[in-house]
Amino acid sequence: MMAALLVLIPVALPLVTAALLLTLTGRARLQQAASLVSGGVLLANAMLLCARTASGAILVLPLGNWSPRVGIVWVADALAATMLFFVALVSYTTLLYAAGSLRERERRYYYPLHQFLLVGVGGSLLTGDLFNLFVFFEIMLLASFALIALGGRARQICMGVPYVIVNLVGSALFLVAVGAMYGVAGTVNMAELAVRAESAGLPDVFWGAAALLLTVFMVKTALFPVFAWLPDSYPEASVTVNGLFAGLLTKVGVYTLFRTVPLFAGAAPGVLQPALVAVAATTMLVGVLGALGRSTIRGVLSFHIVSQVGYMIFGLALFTPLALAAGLFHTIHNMLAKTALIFAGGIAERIGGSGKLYAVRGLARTQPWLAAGFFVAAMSLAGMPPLSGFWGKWFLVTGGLAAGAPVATGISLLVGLFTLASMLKIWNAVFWGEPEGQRYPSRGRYRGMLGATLALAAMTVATGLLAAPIFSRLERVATQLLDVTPYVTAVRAAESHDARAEAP
Amino acid sequence: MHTILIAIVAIPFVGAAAALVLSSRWAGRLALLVPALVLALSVPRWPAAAGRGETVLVPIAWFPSAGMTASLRLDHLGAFFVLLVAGVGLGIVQYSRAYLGRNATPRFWAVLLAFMGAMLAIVLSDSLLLLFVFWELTTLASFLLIGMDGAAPEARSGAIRAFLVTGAGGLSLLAGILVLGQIAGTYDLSSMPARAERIMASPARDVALLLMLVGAFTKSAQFPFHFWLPGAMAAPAPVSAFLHSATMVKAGIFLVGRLSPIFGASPAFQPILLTVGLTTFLVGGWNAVRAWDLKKLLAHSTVANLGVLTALYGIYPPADVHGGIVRGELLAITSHALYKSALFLLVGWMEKASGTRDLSILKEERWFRREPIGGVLIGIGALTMGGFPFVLGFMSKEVFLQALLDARFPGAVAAVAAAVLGGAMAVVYALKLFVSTFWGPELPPDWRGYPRSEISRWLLVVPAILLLPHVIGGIAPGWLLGSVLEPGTDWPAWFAVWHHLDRIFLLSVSTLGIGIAGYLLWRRYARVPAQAETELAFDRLASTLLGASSAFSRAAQAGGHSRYLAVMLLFGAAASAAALCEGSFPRLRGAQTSWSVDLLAAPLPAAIIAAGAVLAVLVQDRVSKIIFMAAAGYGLAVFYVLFRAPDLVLTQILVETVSLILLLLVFQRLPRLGPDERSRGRRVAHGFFAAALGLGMAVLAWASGIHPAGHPAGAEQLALSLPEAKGRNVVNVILVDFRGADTLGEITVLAVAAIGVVALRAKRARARAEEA
Repeated sequence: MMAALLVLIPVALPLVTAALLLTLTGRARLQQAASLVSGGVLLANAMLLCARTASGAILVLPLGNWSPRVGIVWVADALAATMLFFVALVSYTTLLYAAGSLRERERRYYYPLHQFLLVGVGGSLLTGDLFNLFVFFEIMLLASFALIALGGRARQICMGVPYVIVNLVGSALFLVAVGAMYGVAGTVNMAELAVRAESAGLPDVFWGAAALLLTVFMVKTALFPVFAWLPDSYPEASVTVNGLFAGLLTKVGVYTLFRTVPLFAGAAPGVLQPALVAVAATTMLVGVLGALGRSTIRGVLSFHIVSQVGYMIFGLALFTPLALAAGLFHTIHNMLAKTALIFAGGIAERIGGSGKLYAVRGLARTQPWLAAGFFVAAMSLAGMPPLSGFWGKWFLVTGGLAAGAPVATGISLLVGLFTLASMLKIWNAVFWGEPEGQRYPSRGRYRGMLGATLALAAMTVATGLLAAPIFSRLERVATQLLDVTPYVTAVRAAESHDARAEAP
Repeated sequence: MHTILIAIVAIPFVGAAAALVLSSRWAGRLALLVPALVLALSVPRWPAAAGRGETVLVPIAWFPSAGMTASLRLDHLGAFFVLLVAGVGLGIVQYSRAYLGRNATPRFWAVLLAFMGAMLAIVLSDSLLLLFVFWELTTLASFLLIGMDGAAPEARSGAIRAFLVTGAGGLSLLAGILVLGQIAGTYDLSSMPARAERIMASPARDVALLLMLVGAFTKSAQFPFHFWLPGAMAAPAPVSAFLHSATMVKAGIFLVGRLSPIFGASPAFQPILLTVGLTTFLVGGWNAVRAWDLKKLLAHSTVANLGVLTALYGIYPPADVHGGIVRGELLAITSHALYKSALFLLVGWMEKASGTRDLSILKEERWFRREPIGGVLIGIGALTMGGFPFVLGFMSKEVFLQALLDARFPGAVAAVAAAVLGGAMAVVYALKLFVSTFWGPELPPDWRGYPRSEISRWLLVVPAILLLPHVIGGIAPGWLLGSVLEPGTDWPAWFAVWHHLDRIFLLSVSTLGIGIAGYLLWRRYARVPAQAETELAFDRLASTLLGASSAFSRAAQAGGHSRYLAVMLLFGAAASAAALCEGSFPRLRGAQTSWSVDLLAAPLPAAIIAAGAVLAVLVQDRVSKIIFMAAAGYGLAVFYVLFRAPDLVLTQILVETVSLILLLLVFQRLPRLGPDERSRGRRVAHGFFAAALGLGMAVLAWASGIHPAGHPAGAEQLALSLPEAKGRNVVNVILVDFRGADTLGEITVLAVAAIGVVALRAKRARARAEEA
């Protein structure tokens, strides 16, 4: 019962909260307070889940108590629990940031949409069912589009259009692929699919559909060559939304790949691994070059998401526990550091009234705390020790060399240098120099915004200092992920609790 | 013992954290305490580490699964550097307090102390992981200290250049460490020599060596990475003295020392070090000869000296390297660290006293008359820099020459010639620094610089203390070496202030002679260049890269959503095809070709669908397009009739009807479509693309249709529907029970969409109201 509740809450609570918040429309303070309470429960719930799954236990919730062959299951293993925790963390800090950052007209519907986004994210992390994943992707997509367009500015809607169109067509592909997979495999349950793919010798069309599905996940993750929608739309959204997306959305794509690829990797065509490595390496390089070339603070930072996603998938593509754990570490690190950077950049933008580089200067002197928060997060992103980004880099390179992928590893190091360069570009343009262009200095002192930024920056420091215990946990997660059996067994065993499902 | 090592590393970091919460004044006092404590802890360890050659290992577990530790060790080389860092550090802190005054913020002290801690940790690390972590921290601290005053453009570009170059070297070092660790099976330095054979046997050996050496060379400003160091001179004088002459730039030399027992047997090791070292010696020397800024002169001479330190490791055969120390190395490092940091501090003082550090101004002025004490101190430093007798620099140079003469390797003559030439250049810039600065023709003006009363005496006292060992060592070198630096080693008979006429002595004298002649030539012919700084190749590279990336950034975003869609669909199709072709597509084994329903009537709906689709493309106005697309949708409903799925038929008809009405309502308000502006070729390409994609989907659907699954969920749902879920209509049972979560989700989607629309509408309405 307890276990079922723990798995249910990450989806049900935001849904209920969203409904509640809609009744409070127009009372932003109350909405924020309610969201924070709900977010706190979510955080506690995620911690409990982490504790429950730490030893390798996998909690399975068969919805409606149907067997996984008939109904939908939600599954919380160590991976999902870890991701849920960091999602809840980033979401919470975003709520803290939102109150000061949102404009009057954005405030009205922001909080319920935030909760709806969490419904989509939580469901995507937990579900063990491909079609159910599709549904949660839809929720995420709709909520995120509404959030992008929230400001109501023509440019936001205009740049949001590619986001929606690309993702909608992606959804259509998703549907086709799942349909084809169901046609040949007779199930949309991931564990069941993995078993059938492994044993039954499914026809090749299954893999054709799987490749299509992989493409859709790549779109969600913003991997090369299907990344271009991200740097278009993210910087146009308001800062809060940008931070929330950077922390959550693409990471759901990353998670989906971590969830599904190892399940099918054993039986999949051999081209999968080299293809993934190539995609990851190209993504890293393309993302960082694009970022280096941007001329707005959040433009640089958002394009960087693409590059960082490449690192994460590089860890996945190597299929070793060490590399996979490094990829996960990188994911966690990025959720914290990137959100911190975007938040800090957002404050700078508010102070200067413009997000253009060199429009506002000299913040290091006038806003030392803001500068410290940005610098720490930027150095973390550039992989400087002892911050979290360093460990992701260090173990990815370790894993890459051990797995015999020297070229991609070399690219990842080169990209690290370019990342440093792009962070220094922002630092030089915005934080150094004689103070100028600081038109609204008081805006930099809003406690919620600065507090959220510094909290995230502090977390990237803490993650770096506590790297050893975190990494050892992630290694266990990675081992469990690569050894598909525990997941599959746990999901398939779900029906034995239920006498009714034993009927033929 | 264990706690002492950990304390030495921890104390500076604790101090750094504490400095942040203190006032500037108290942070400065605390900063003085930190190196003093470190000295108090480490000096008693020196006899054991240096004299008896004891090594203390402190194993600390960290990342056991990856085989990495955080182990520390204290040996002769490490202890030497600890004393150097803490000793010079103590002087630097006191000087900074006097020199920086109010500019020494708590932040400055925190970074300085953190740097000190990182430097101490590097030299005490046994674990390469730990070493690397602190290696990068010194880079970070250096960046913050150079760029401390972010207002000056020179400081900004210098700091960024230094960060990028040493950062790139750091990445190279990282890769090298990991390659080495994977070859050796350990990341602990102390375990490596025992596995030297295994390392030497690996083909990746030289890759690891080269990668690590690049890291060492960038840090120690070796050619061709030397250019960042002069740029780093934008930092305040004590920072330049501490980081960029006495300690941080020697980290690379330290690393080479640590690597020599591991890679000494590699045939690449010595030639690389010797070549790079001597080249750096000459390049640095030549730049120092040409420099007009006193601080830049010192920076270039530091580069030159680092070249000598590197070259020393390239001279001696591995058998002569004990504990990572080659003969004369400690002497050379001590000598250089002390006199160079003293000179940097003295130039800092000079800048305050004279108001400038530009030699083209100073050479016209007779500063010795006004500042005799400072003059004498700079004189001692300059003499030892130039390798004149009776100071420690002379000994250091003799050791270097002796080593080259004793060595047996091809090209030894060229190496000796390079050493003499470099030594002569050192004489030139040493004389520039002393004679030209202090002995100009005219009396200095009064209006430049601070009056003497406003300059703290510490600015001269600290360098004087740093120079003291030079005078002692110059008079009693045997004692300094044999009893203090390298106790227990027997230094040859020639090692004394004055010895009989031999080759070394002749070389020394000729070096001095050439140098003095060179200086006279410089005085006669040197002209201040019109343009002070030439653009560096590195900066050109950086701006090219920035330009290229911004062009790339624009290109990646060009084309908008239609291009993104095309890329996505093409990629999906390619991926799908690649996965299919891995097998032998189309594999029809076990394929089923008969259908459970009668498809005789199928051509009718198929024709409706096809006609609707084709006409929707061909007609030009929106309304017609929508109607034809709806026709195709109704055709689909007929298919559902054939498959006897009444729920689906109803749903499909409903969806088509509602969307038809909605779309018609919406599109009525939109402007008419203009003429198609695409070129003919483009239209054909788009058509081909769309047709191919449709065909691909059809193939996928068909192929999955002819391979029905063995135990589909549908069959089980059908069986369970009535007995378990108590529902006769299985579609409804699926929607509300078996897969009720999906339905809930889709309802949520609708709700979110509705909220989105309301949010946008509300804004429009309000905007309109505001306008009115």
